[in-house]
Amino acid sequence: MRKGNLFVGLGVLLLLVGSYWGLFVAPKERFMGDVQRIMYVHVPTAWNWMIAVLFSFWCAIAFLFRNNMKWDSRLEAGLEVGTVFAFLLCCQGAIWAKPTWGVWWDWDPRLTTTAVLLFACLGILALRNFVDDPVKRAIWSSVATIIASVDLPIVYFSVKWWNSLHQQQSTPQTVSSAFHLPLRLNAFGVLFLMIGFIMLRTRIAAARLERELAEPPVRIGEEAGELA
Amino acid sequence: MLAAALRKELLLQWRGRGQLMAVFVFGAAALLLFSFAIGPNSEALRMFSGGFLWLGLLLSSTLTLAESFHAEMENRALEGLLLLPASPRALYYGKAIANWLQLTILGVALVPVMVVLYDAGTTELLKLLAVILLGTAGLSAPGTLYAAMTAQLKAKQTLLPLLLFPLIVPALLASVKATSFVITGDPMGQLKSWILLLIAFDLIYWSLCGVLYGRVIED
Amino acid sequence: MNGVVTGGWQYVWLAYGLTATVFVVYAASLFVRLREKRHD
Repeated sequence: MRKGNLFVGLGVLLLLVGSYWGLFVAPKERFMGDVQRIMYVHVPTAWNWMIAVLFSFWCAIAFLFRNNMKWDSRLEAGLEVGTVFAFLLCCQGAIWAKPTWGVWWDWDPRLTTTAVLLFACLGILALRNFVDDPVKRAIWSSVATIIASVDLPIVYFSVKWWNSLHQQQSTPQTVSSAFHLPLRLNAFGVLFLMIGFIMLRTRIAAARLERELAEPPVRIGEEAGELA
Repeated sequence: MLAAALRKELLLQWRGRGQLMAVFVFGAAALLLFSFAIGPNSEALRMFSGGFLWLGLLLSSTLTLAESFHAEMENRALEGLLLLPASPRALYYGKAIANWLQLTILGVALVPVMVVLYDAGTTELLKLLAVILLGTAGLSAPGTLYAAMTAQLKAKQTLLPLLLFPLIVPALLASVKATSFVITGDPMGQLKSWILLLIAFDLIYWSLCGVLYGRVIED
Repeated sequence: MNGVVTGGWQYVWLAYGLTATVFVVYAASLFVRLREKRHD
């Protein structure tokens, strides 16, 4: 059985157990009531999104230094999975914000940073779409990913500052031990799911690269035309 | 090497100054449209004038940045440049500095427009100039790099803003905040922190993009 | 806010449901694309 499928399966299993626990077994939170149960999917998604971003950053640097196309395939996977997670994160955040703060979006620095990075990743994926030469595509994606990754802490910091005069709310920072188990289960569940997704997506990217690199490069045809 | 690259860029820009005029008109038109979006609410217009100025500048920058690579794309001049014993870094900084100058001129030219349309005058002109210089530097560094990339692609007009806009959010926030404090007053002394953020952003991206530029234009 | 939030289960289901749907749809898209590769 393919390793990627194994990870996905394991992830799903853990998520089912963890979510059941978080939904029906774990106690209600003191102030936020049952709505707080959203945390059991929101926090694991957030943690794993960060991992996906770091992974993409690593692949980008690895490609620029090693020039090995396998890093580009991994980068493509990391970017796409990261984008999916970022989108999910923004939606979950909005769903949590509405009953607790009364608005869908409250410019929370973490969520806002995620939204900005979501757009940045969409831009890089769009860029990849428009570049035909696989090597150029790889170099440019890596450069753009590095630039966007370096930006992440700067965006977070600046939004936090920008928002600090208006926001008095605080999100629960400390999680009491009664909530640990479902959180941990789901965190690993999403992690395995993500690893599986990245493995499978890398394979798709690598297969496409194989096809592209096997075709005769267009340039030779062009030059022949010019000479003739 | 850098001096030669810079000279070439400034010469190109001088020759294309008619275009800069057109972009200025575009920027002024944008500022006008913003005032229509808010309506004749002079309090609100004045409060948000910093935001409008920088949005107008940002939109205009997509035009000037893309245009700055027009010469390189004609007759594959970019490849010709790479054959010269000029380091890509010098080429990058030459172009980035020229783009910076262009955006600063644009910014300064739009200030009177802002003053008139939004009643957003200020006597602290030096501080305003400093904010404009730092903010446009933040736009120019990554903008030049991405313009180099997208100039070679078919969807260049969509891709440049798509890539640039999320990236420069910190520079935009800081520039808008700083400009607003210069115009409407700064009772709690927050201007300095935003200026520092701008400086940090500029330092990081002027160095990072310089390092990466060589890989972007290599063949 | 200082009070206690009561109810709100529809938001919880919405969040969990959305999360599950996104994961399932994305996983399905991966499997479909993988099968296409193999048939090439």
